[in-house]
Amino acid sequence: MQMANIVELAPVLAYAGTDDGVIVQGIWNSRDATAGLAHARGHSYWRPVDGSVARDELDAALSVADTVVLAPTAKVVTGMRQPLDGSEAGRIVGHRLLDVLSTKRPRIHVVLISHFLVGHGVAHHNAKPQTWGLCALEAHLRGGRNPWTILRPTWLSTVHDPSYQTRLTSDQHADGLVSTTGVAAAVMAAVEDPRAASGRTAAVYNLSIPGSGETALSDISDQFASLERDFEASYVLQTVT
Amino acid sequence: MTVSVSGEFDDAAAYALRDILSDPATHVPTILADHPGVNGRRISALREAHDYIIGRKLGASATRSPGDAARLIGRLAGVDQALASTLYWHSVLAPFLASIPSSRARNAVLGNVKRGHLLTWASAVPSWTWRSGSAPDATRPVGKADALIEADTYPGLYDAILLWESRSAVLVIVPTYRAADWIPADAAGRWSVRLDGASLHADDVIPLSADPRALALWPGDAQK
Repeated sequence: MQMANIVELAPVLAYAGTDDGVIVQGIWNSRDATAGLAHARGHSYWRPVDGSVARDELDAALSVADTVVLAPTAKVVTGMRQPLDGSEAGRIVGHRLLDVLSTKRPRIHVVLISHFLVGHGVAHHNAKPQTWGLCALEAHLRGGRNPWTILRPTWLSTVHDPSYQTRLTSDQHADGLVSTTGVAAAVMAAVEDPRAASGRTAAVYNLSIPGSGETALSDISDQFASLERDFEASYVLQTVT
Repeated sequence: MTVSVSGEFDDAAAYALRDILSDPATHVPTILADHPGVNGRRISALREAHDYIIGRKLGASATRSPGDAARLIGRLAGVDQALASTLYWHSVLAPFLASIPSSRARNAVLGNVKRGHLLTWASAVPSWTWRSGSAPDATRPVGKADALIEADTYPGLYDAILLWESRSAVLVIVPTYRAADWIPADAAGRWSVRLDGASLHADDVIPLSADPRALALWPGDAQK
C-alpha cells in the first residue's frame, strides 16, 4: 500500500458564490472517522481551517495531493444552512473547484461524498436543496477529467458492533443505515485502490452479518471492482466540450 | 429463479411487476389527493413498478438500439399495457441519445439512464422563457427558466423531462425535481408542469442542428 496525500474539502453549499474564497469549509459527519483512519493507515490528511479557503492556500495543498475527499455539507459550527437554490450552488462549487482540478490537476482522484437521496430524485420527499446541490456536483465531476469515486452514504447511524459489514450498491433507490466508520472505510478503500474504485457511483450501507468480523478494506475494494463503471468514465482524460 | 443484475428484462422482472401491479403497497396520500378525477392509487402502483424498473436498471437496455428499446416495451406490454405506455417516450429517447455525438450534457443524461433513470418527453411546450434571453452555454453556464410544459403521463414517474426549445435550438433536460409544481391538464391524463426560475446548466442542454423529431437519428416510428 502506497501512502497517499489526502486533501479534504467540505464546501458549505449555502455559501457557494457568496465568499471571496474558493469555498467556505464546513463540517461533515464522518470527517473525524475518515481523518483518523487515514492517519492510522499511514496517509497524510490535510483540511483547511473551517471558514473561507483562499485560492493560494488551496493551490499549495493540491500541488502535492493524490486524492481530494470532497464532502459538500450543510453544516457549520453554528448550525445547518440549506442553499436557496441547490442546483445553482452545486454548479458554482463545480466551476470554482472542480473545473480548476480538471484543467490543472487532472490526475487527482476525487472521492465525492454525496448522499443516497440523490439517487431517489423526486420520488423521495426527504430531499432538500442540498440534495440537488449534490446532484449537480455529481454531474459536474463526471463531466470533468479527474478520475472519481462517488459515494452515497445512506442514513447516518451510530457506530455499530463489528458484525456490521460495509456494503456498496449501484441501486439508485438504495436505502439503509451507515456509520461514520463505515463511510470512512469506503473512502479509504477508494483512496488506496483507485484502479478498482474510480468511475464508480455507489450507495454505502451497513449490513449485519454475525460472526463475520470487521470489514477489510480489500473486501470493499473488491466490491468497487464488481460495480459497473459509470458511462461517463469512458470519456475521462478525453477533451469533451 | 435467478434475478439478473445486468439490466435485462427476465422472467423474474415480469413476475415482480405483475405482483406489484396486482397488489401494490399501501397507497400513501401525496399531492395527487388534491386533484379530483386523478386515480392516485393507480399512479402510486405505477410509481412502485417504476421503482422496481429503476432498481434493476431495466430501462438502460433501451440505450443499445431502437430494436432493444422496442423489445423492452414489448416485454412490459406483456405484463401491463399501461405500464408499457408510460415508458414509450423513454424507449424513443434512450436510443436517440445514444446515437448523437458525445458532449458533457449528452453523456450526463445517458449516464443517468444507464444508472437507471427513466425519461419522458414534453408533448407540448406552451411557454418557455430564459430569464437571460437564451440558453446557458460555456460563457454563461447557469441559466434560469420560467416555463409551462406538458407531459402525457404523471411527471412524478420520471427522473427527467426532455423537450425541444426551438429559439435556442437546444434539447433541454429538465430534472423533475426542478419543477415548481404539476397539475392535471385535461381529462385525457395529460399534466401541466410549471418551472419557476428553475436553474439549468449548460450541461443540461444539448445543441442540435434541428428539432430532434426531424432528424434521421430519431427513431422512425416515433410520434412526431
